Amino acid sequence: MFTDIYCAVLIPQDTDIVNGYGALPLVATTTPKNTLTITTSNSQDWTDFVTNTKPLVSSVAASNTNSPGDSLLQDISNPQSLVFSWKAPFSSVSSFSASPGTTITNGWGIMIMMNPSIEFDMTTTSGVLQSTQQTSNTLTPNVTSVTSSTAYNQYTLIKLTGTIVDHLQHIFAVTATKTAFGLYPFKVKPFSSIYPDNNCMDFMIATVDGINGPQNTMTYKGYFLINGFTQSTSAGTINMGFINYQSSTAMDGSQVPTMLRIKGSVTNNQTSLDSLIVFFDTLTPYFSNKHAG
Amino acid sequence: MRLSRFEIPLLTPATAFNVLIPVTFPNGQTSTNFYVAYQVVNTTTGFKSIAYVEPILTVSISQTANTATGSFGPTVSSNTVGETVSNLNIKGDSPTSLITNSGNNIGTAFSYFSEWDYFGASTVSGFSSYGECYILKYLHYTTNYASYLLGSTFTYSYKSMKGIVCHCDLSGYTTLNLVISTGYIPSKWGITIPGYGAISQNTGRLLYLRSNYQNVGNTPTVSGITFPAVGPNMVQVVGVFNISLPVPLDESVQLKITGNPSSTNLPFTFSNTGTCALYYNGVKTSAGCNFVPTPTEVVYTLTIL
Repeated sequence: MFTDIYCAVLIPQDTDIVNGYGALPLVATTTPKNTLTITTSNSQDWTDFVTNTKPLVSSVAASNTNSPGDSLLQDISNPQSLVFSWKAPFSSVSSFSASPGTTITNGWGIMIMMNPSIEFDMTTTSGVLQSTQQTSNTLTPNVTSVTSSTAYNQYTLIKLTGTIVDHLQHIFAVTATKTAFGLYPFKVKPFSSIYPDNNCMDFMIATVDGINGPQNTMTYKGYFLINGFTQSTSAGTINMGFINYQSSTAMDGSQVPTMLRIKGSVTNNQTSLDSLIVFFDTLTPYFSNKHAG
Repeated sequence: MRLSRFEIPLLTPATAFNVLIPVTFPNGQTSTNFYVAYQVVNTTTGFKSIAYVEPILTVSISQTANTATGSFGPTVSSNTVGETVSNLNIKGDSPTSLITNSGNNIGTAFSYFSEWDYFGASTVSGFSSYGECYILKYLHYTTNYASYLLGSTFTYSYKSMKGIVCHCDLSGYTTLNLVISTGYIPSKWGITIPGYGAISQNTGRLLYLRSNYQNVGNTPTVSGITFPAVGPNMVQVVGVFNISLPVPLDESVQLKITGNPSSTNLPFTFSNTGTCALYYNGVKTSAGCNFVPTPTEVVYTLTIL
């Protein structure tokens, strides 16, 4: 069914991925055993569990704002910011001293690799990647998109690099602090797939000491994987609730059933909508009576 | 949170929809979580994607229904078992004023369900001032499989349920009479016919749940039966009673033939003999039969197979 399956595997935070590649692949090709499952693992302390803020959203503007309810918006017309929200300590991304002014030998960088369908927009800012960070003393952004159909690998790669620890401590403070930064402009082309295929919007992220030096001196420190998920604006109005809910003794349907009611109207994208999907916990739908029609 | 999901196909192009999904819960559950999402399909590649997700909805209800008040079900006190009734009324009076549905509080509704299909292909009227009604059916099937595995005798309950749900999207109400253009009263259960009505408030709380408020008023009677010629002591059956039934029969029914107690020539004095058969449009149908005679009557139980 699938020609390629990408699997992210659990890796200890301090694993030397370069020397240990044979034993602990970050990304590997394998034969699918369960084609509907992909297992991911996030690096330690890289999400804000307190407020449950999404680690990645997009915004149709140059922005670093991450508001609750936002998402990665599918939009082929308007360039957007990719807004990352993290709460990670400096020690999880670099092995250098955290003392202000410390120079990082051969520089430090964070690499963010993503699906090429998230494409850098060359026209809006004349080919310059803008990085919206919290202070003027920021990391230097750089972007590469490989989208040619003949290319061996297709991807979009963003690098943020700095030369002293002060540069990265605005995002990764010594004491972990929730922070957000935006990268602009990008166009998010397709909807993300619900299956592991070419439309997966996974973001693979790594932090590297010595990123500008020879490869044998580069040290990968932290890893992070975000399952990106694109959405459109709502196609209309949806309301939902129960009818005939009784909690003391469950309604087993022998008299009247408890019913989940979903009521809505669709005002745009009417022809492309295929189905409603209901995610739920701790209830059991009844079977339809095929025999009686 | 462990989430399961099911998908509901939309018609193309999708416009307005009202989806009702019969569900059940564990006893004592007061809180349930939901997401609802739209799924799109790329018509070129066939890729399926979730294009939009509504914010999570948590429904918290702690409620036990009142089963002692409320008047629900068919108005049949002047009708006969097995009768087909024009403009059959279904009463749905609510002891509490109902609140008009709004936003995600869309639970105000009158529901009526039964294992008997009172509706057939009829139209239902009488609710247009309050909202719309929808006829639906579901399969109720339960077994004792867990205890069966431990040695108990296997038991099950199987009922093909059909009913109506009327949503108070325009207005609440207190008194209600739905009108089924052509309603069918069953004969299987005699005068006590099956069915339950329920009143739900806008948050989804089940306020009232009660069985039919009326029994069927009359049992069918047959007259003009010509008795076959028999001897004075009726020692042997010498003929056949051919009784044209006044109403349709469904499944097992009880047919009682009663003599005149004051008569000195009771029609039935036999025991342990006799047969019966059932014909439909002149064709003998699959039926079983047994009977219990007394000096004044014979009670046949016909089992339609």
